[in-house]
Amino acid sequence: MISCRHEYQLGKGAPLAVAWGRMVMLAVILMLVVAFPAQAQQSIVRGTVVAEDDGEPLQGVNITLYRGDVLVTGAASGSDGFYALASIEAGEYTMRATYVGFQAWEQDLDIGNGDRRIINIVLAAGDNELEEVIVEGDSDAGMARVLAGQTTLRPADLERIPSPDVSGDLVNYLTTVPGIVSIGDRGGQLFIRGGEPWQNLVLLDGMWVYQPFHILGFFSAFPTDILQQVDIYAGGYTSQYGGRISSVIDIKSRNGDKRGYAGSASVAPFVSGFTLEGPIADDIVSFLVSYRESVIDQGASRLVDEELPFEFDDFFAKTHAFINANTQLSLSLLRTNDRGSVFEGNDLEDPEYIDWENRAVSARYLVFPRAFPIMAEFILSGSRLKSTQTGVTEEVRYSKLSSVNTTVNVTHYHRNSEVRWGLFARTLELQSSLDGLYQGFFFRKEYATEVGAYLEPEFMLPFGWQVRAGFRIHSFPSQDSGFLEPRFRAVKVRDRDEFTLAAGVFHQEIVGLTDRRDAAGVFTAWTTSTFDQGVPEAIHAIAGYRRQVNRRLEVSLEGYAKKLNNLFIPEWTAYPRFTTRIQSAEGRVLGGDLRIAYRKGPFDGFVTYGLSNVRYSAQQESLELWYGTNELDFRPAHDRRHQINAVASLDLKPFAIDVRWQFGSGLPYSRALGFDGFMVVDGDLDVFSDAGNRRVIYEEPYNGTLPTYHRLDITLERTMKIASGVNLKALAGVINMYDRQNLFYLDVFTLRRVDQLPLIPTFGLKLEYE
Amino acid sequence: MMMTNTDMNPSLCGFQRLIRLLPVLFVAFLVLSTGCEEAVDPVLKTDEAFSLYGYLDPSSDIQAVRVFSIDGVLENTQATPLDAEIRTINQNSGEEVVWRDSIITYRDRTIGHVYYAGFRAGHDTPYRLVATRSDGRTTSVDVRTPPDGQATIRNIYSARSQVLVEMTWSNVPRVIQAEVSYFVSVPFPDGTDTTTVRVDIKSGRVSENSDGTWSVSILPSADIGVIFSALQLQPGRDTVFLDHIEVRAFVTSDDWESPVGVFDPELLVQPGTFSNVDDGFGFVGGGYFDTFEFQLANDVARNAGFSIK
Repeated sequence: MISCRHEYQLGKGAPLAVAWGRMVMLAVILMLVVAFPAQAQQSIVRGTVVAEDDGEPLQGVNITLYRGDVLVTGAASGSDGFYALASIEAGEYTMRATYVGFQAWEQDLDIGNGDRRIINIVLAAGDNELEEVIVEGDSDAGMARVLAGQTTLRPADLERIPSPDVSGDLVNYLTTVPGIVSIGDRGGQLFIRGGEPWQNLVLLDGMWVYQPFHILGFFSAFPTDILQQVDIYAGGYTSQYGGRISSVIDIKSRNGDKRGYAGSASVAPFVSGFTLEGPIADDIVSFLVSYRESVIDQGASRLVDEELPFEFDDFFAKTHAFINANTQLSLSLLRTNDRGSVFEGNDLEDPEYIDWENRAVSARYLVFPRAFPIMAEFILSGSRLKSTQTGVTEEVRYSKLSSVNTTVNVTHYHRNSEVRWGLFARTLELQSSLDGLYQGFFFRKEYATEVGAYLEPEFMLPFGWQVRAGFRIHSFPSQDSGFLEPRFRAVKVRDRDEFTLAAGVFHQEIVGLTDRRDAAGVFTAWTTSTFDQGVPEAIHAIAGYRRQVNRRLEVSLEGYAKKLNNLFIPEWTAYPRFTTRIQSAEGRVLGGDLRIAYRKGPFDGFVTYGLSNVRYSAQQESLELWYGTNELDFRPAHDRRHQINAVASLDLKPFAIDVRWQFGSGLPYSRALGFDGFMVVDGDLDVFSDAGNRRVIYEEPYNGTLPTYHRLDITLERTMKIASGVNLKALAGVINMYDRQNLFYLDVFTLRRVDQLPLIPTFGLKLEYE
Repeated sequence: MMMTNTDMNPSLCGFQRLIRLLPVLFVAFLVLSTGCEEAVDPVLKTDEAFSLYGYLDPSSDIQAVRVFSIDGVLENTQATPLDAEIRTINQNSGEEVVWRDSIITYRDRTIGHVYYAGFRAGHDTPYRLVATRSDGRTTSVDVRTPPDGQATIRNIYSARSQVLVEMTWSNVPRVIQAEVSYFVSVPFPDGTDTTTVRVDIKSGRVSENSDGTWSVSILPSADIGVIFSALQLQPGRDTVFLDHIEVRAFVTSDDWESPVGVFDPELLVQPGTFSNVDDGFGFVGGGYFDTFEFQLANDVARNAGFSIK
């Protein structure tokens, strides 16, 4: 039985687990029925496409099959370079592979009945690479290429964003995406289309990374050097993803060079590090290692003559192997450490130091069996996040989240469509010691399990709509709950126009509790949603339009709406302390993005505008008493109404100039009328011995608006060849060029404002060996 | 013949012109916006001058209220005189009393201002308490002290291990809480003599009667367990003799009523939620503890669990 909230109510305890087991089994059977239609004696050609110079898989390679001059079928390679051409009749063909910047590849094929061919393709870089005309539509990445909330990024996109480090970082690009709100230079928190940080799912090679952004806002655990591709789903994501209600950032790392050793070492005022990669067995096994460590004390702090109490480091290692012609195995490891002070204290409260560490490992096995037109991905990963928040002398709060995740994703290839299905199981251990501040609990240890399955066929509808519609069964046996989540994505391409739609229902059983009274809270305690108000739920709807105006200009427009149910937000209180008592709330998000990308010759740039309107409706019991209403509608602290980003890159070889300007309208905050004291006046009151408490006389919550935020960053980069295969990249630039005093944190109790980073000259050197 | 973009769609021409203008508009916006440094003033200020807490007590010769000034910055109170003059006016007689400031250092080392005056407030008397700042801004509150009430025992229900005493307070506007003190005698270990001990228990239940009087109920048969526990004695092994019972009801002015029925600080902390102060915040009422003593008959005391001499 399905309730209107898509929640199964199947009973309690063991009977529920049995019922869920049956439900998942039925779903698997249904998937197999849908995924294995009769294939007759038709043939399949599959394989991977890699680059000749380093053996890295190439995504987006156009693979076509011709009979004479007639195009029979075609496909584009996926993120692992995998392609499949299915349902091919016997005959003689010419197979071609083309990709921008690479020489075209061609091979004649004589295909018999029921052939199962594996053809791995190696593409050589084109001699005319620099002069090659970029054909619009060939690339599926870039800022304006938004596809119903999905933006795909490649390392080259990231390199265009000015950064204080000579190597780029994913987070700097993310903050240019409309709808992604960063609180500022510190804290490492991103709010995506109205969602809160704990509602974002961040995956690296299938590993769940729970707090991936460093405490200094310019850096994440993902330096550009390790990235192959990043898919950002700002909403409406496919059935493959679940357990989060706001967004998905799915990151694939590079495999490392299988032909030769390469590496780099860099120094800059904020961070220094190195990357090393190379073959372990030529063309078969490779490795990639990256390490960065902040050097703020020795560098940036001295440049600005200001204490910047932030330390972090990250380490990533990966090894990848082509086990044989149709299987791949990769092992990845990520480790990050952060420590610093975000709240620097006031007259009544001590400064608070936060530190967190991520540990994650994964094994990813890819296989495309010879007998079936499928690709299967098996991921086994483990992740752990430990966070502590300490005062001057003692540990105050502690939270630990550990999980083991197993996932199977299967793609069935048909002539003009795909069917995807998968299974997943996760076990989690959640542990918190919270000093009684969260819902009054001091120490809590929980175990949770998530299991489920999804099915998502892709098919064509009339009028040219390509639809991917499916559902996800997401069960939480340990919580006696489960959900059926419908998902839908559709694309229609007509000449230069592209129309997209997406919708879906999402649930999140594991929730993060954070003090969001001023949006600067960083410490997050993870727990199961065992409170009375139910499991947080989001319903997304997205509609988009993109037009390739001409070869140089691309414009996209997207509108979105989210309905948020069963949210947890802090209760209001007039006590001048950071409350973590939770009340329930509903929310809704309305917004739109405009993206304009332009490139001509050495110029490449884009302008984005994001409009967002986030409203929460709180349901604290005392609202009737305080404000005369059962519900209070307000803008939460992360509701940035207007956001503009302009990025321009000019490649005047050997120099490259990158410019970025950001603008964000002010965030809401709660204004005070003044400060007094409070005492409970009952018969026990003794004014000579009762000290009472200080109190804030607030207006209604979040009635004020902080100043706008804007900043200009410029970097100039030059690459010099100093020996064969050895380049030195030098970077100089200015962060916050016109020294704008952007507010990071306003202590309304003391009127003390903490500004974001002032004008900072930056420079860096990076030695690259190939 | 291949068409140009403009040929394909004339409307694009205007659109492309607009696109070309974007960099100019952007630069203009940049220039304008960089010139604006916005200040933020998170405290809006208020006309209210003080927050006052306390009550006028007709049973005491000293009256006192806690005074907080309403400031624009949150900081701990300093050990310096407060810019406030407090006085009370007896609305019946016109008698005016100027109060004195005292700077108290509390156990948590915070500092507070308690104003006090040496006079006994009359029963059922209207007073106006006025706090004035040197700039002339005032905060005031009107308080009527409650009349002198009369307490009687209305009923005593007695059965084995079940004793309930119901008292009635009449001629009072409100009773908001009641405390019970049991005066008991406990033999010395050698049995040569006894010592009298007072055990305070906040166990009185208060309710309003339909005739406007107030009931206070106590359950000695339930309280006996608390008494044994407080004295670290063991029922059945040790003996406790009851001398007498003292019930203290806190009688208040009529407006001394929590809007939520209980005095929960998390709810009442919101400014204005429970306040009778004009041009300020807080609550100043009129109230006093009215004490009523009585003894239980031997059979009733035995039913409640006490020993009988």
